Amino acid sequence: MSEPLLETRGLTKTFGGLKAVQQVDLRVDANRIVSVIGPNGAGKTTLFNCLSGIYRPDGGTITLAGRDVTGRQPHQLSRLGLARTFQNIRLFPEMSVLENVLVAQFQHRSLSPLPLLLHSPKFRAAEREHCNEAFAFLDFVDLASRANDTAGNLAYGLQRRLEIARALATQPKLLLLDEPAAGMNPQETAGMIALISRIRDRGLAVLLIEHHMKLVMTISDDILVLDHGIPIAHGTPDAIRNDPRVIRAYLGEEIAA
Amino acid sequence: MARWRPYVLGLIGLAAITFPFLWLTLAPDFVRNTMRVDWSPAHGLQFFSDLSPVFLIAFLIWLGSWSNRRWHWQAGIAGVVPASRRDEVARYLKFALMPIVLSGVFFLSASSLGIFTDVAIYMILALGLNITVGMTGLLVLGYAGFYMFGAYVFALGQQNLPYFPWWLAMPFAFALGGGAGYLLGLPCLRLRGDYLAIVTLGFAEAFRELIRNLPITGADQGIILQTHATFRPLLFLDRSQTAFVVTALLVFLAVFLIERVHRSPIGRAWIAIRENEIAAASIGVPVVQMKLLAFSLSAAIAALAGVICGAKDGFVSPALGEFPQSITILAMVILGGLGNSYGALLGATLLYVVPQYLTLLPSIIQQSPGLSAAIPPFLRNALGNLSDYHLLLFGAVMVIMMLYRPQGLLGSSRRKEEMLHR
Repeated sequence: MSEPLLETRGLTKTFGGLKAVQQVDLRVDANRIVSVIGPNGAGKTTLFNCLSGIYRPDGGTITLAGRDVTGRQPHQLSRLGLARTFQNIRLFPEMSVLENVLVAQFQHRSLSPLPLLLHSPKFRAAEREHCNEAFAFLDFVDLASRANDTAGNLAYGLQRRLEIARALATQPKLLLLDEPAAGMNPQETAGMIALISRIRDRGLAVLLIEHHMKLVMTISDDILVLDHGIPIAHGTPDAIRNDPRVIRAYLGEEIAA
Repeated sequence: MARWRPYVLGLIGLAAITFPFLWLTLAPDFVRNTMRVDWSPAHGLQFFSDLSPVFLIAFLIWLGSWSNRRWHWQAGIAGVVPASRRDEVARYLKFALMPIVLSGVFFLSASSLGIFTDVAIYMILALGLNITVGMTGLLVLGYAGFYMFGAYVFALGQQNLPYFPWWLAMPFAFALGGGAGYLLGLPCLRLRGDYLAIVTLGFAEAFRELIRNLPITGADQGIILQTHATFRPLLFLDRSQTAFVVTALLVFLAVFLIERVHRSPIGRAWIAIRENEIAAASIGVPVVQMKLLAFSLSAAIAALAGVICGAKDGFVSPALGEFPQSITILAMVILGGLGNSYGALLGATLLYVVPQYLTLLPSIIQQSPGLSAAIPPFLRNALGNLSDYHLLLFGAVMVIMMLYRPQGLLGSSRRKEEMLHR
């Protein structure tokens, strides 16, 4: 099998005495959708924060596209092709929808001082080109018509979509989505399933945290189940659905027995 | 901002209608029962000279509200969506402002010119501080320290070098100030929270004490600069006119360049850091580097303002870097509207010009028989002492601002929501 896009070995993160994530081995191949599920407090978001560089893991290694990236800063990881969204949406609320996407192109922009200070024709051309590109990303998540609105004024579901567009604008190889369908109605969730499939069709790999089982089971190629920070099961949706350990973690001892 | 528009337009309209009459002097002769009509241009110009701060403030309010409207569709994305005709007009009027302001050299009195030069220095300082406090969202409490730093770089340079005039000192102080800001920011910008505020506050005070106690810096008396280093008569301009022209041109240059950085990927990255640091980092903005850039740039601008101050006054002293000075500049930025360069200009004008006029108030009342007759004696005394209470007044104004307009005079209403629901 070819080299994995993202691989963790023995990833561990503790907060004081609490072992939030323990010995997680995770593998995401290019162009696949992998989900991380588990009850509340299972350490899913902590895992994401370790992967995206917000936390520094206490043990284990993270490899991104064959490079050891353990302990790298978030912006360095972003440069290496990793983008993420947040469970509690973190947009730039005062900026317009378009600007939120434009900021994300930072690493692809030339910052040579003279054209930037003088707004030379070359700079203006680059700005126009990136603006059109940003519109394409907004179009991809069906937000192009709201480009001029203030991001903070968007409806909740649209803010989630904007966050995805912003993450895509960094041109990642791997996209981490932290509960993209949280708080959405069935119709919006169906839209989100379609959107995630379309992201995969663009050639991206997606790592997904989600509580919405229908969404997870429909689109995942692989599922990792965490409970109290410990990986308890790993496999295809069908295998996970019938795994007794997973049922125990979710529903309790008696029902599983 | 729409509700300011009638006032601004009304003011300009009033000026336009009364414009021709300003030149006329009516002299009734009651003995012969005739009226002599005199035509004296100096009379009209005097009117403009007297009201020049009002015009300046009106123009700044207009520019600032225009820039707020344009904020969504940044000028940097120019060409993607055609600008409206009104925006085009505003854009060109903005450039027409430069010759209007510079022509002030010819009709403003020497004392007004001095006031406006000081205003322009504060404008540069407020513009610089606005980069860190307004755009990047970092609180700096010791900004005047860099101002003093620049002034002393100039003063010591001209003392120890054979030839070190102001125009040579400016790039030097700019670079050294930027370097000092970088070194100071390096340790504390890596940390979260308001460390920068405390560190800059502490360093500014420590630096001032150092200067007060070192023999080479002339202690509390400061350093008197050699005349060849300071502003000197240039072409047909005298000394104070040169100071005004140079400082005004630097304000224009600063606005021009800062607004361009503001409307570029770097400016967007700064705002992103202000709005959500973690999100900014996760989309590839190198947060620490961008903060360092913002901080050292504003330190460099303060140092540049220090050189202008030295060249204008002919001496530098530790009083430049006092804590109230830092707070005044911060108040200018906050009053004008955080993150809006024109707001910083407006804040600088208001907070400098209003105290000046309060000081002048007693003599204005005294010189005008009509006014002194109209105002009862007890009120006349109170008004005369008003300038003593100007800090009290500012305190009240600041409290009222925080309650009703926390985003500053020219801040956007979106900013207000953000401040209230933090």
